[in-house]
Amino acid sequence: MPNHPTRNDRRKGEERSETLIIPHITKEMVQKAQQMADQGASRAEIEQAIFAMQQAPFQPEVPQTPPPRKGFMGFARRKVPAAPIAEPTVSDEPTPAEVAPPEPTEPPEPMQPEAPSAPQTKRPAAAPTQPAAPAPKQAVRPAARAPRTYQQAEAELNERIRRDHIWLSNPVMVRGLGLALVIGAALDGKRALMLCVASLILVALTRPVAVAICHLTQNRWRPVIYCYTAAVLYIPTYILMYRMFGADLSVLGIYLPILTVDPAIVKRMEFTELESVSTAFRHGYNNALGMCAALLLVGCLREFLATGAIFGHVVIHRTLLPMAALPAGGFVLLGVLAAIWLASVNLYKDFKHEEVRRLYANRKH
Amino acid sequence: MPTVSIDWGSVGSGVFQFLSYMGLAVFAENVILSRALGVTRLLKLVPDHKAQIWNFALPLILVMTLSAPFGWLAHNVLFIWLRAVLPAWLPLSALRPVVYLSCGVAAMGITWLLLLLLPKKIADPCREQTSLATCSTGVLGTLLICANQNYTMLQCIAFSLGSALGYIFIVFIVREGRRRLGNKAVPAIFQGLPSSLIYVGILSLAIYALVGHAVVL
Repeated sequence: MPNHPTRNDRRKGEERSETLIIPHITKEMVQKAQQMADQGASRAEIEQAIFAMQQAPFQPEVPQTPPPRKGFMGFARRKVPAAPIAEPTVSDEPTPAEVAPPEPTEPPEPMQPEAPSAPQTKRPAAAPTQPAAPAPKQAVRPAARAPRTYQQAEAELNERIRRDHIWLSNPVMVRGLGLALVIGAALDGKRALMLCVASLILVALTRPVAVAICHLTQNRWRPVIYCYTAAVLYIPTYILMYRMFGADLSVLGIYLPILTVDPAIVKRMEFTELESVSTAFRHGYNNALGMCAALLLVGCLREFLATGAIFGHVVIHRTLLPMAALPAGGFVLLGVLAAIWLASVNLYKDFKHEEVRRLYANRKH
Repeated sequence: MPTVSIDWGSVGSGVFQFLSYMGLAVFAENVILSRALGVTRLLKLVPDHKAQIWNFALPLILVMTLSAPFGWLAHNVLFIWLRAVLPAWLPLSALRPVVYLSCGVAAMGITWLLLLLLPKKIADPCREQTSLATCSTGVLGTLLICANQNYTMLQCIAFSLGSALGYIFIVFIVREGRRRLGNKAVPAIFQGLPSSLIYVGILSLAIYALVGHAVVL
């Protein structure tokens, strides 16, 4: 028996089965190898194809099995096709910078690694005869892809949670902005509706206009710019609201003017980074919607508890909690509502984070 | 030889009036407990360190007090003149935020200069908070309340100073309450914003029970 220096060399030269040893193998590689083996490709061809796949830059991992929970897949990586691999993955909000340029119109090479960026990459996996060439740089750039690692998926999920201003990051219930209006002025449905109209105009428009002015002033005097922008926008808003609601507007007292310095509007002035005008408008509009939801909810609930009516229409002929019409009742009621709201938000967020953990549990990344 | 006679009765009456309006603003018509003004900033300030509270409190007191005379002038001089000048389609109420905000900004400028008199170590952090203190619902709300109630200038200053002191007083009260509410006996879903709001609500209810009537909102 030959004395091999190492035990691993003992079987050198013996006949062995056709077993491919591929380091760092992925699901895509296994599937590709199986496909090629079924189509009669030789071992060398398969190895070359796998090698080319390994040499290629990052490609998003596309699950070949049905996702464990469809809810998350719709949430974290929408429109990710199960097969074939070469289908481009599309996120829900691709920014122009993320969208890859179209792939060159050369004839597709069969064994070329799949580029996830363009529909042209959907090429047959059959007839793998030529060695793979490195993919062009334009094609390998991942465009609007699904998160690759657990950290990326978590970051994406957190970003989506942060962007949801109506429920998950409601400016009033979660972030505690605009409390003066909700507690002091939203005593009934009608006042809440008037405040909603004012908020929709002022909260949605102040931010983009102020950001545009800040771009001109090179981000100086932010607090003054934000407040004066809101105060100037208040003039047409007041005229419009006076035409809509007439003298009823006076029931809001000091709370309509102080909307111009409400943290829901001027909170952004505390941040030094300057966002784009379109982003500011989107965030401002979402904030306004979230604020409207909170105002209407609290206003109608307080009216119902204090008078048994909603928008002046009597629902029950008794008062359940007269204190709800006072600021003290507003504080307590909003505290209870915020607790329920935050509990539901935390449950939902935990559910989503758990889904991400499960999805990425068996991955190497 | 000329003599000066001082009517101590009127001086005492003025001082008493000043103090009574201050007391009214600190307790009975506290900006936070009775009108919920500046609650967002309060809840932001409470978890901070004590020194940071004073960095905000000092500019707030100065801005609120100094803006009161400007607000009185705007209400009694500027708006009377504007009422005759403005076109019919433009209501005077539409201009109130711009005018009173300008009063606050003027007070901010004076505060900025006054802070230069303090040592740099104290003045710099205070100056950083001056703009936040000015752009507060508490400042604008107090100016609007003074205008709505038709206070005299002395009453305006007393009410504004009292409002600022009342604000700081409640900040420390809520800060202490929040420290005690931070223990494990509080259910998890009530910790943070909800428990603070309920705590302020109970304080507000206590003030309401003391005064016996709700203030004009």
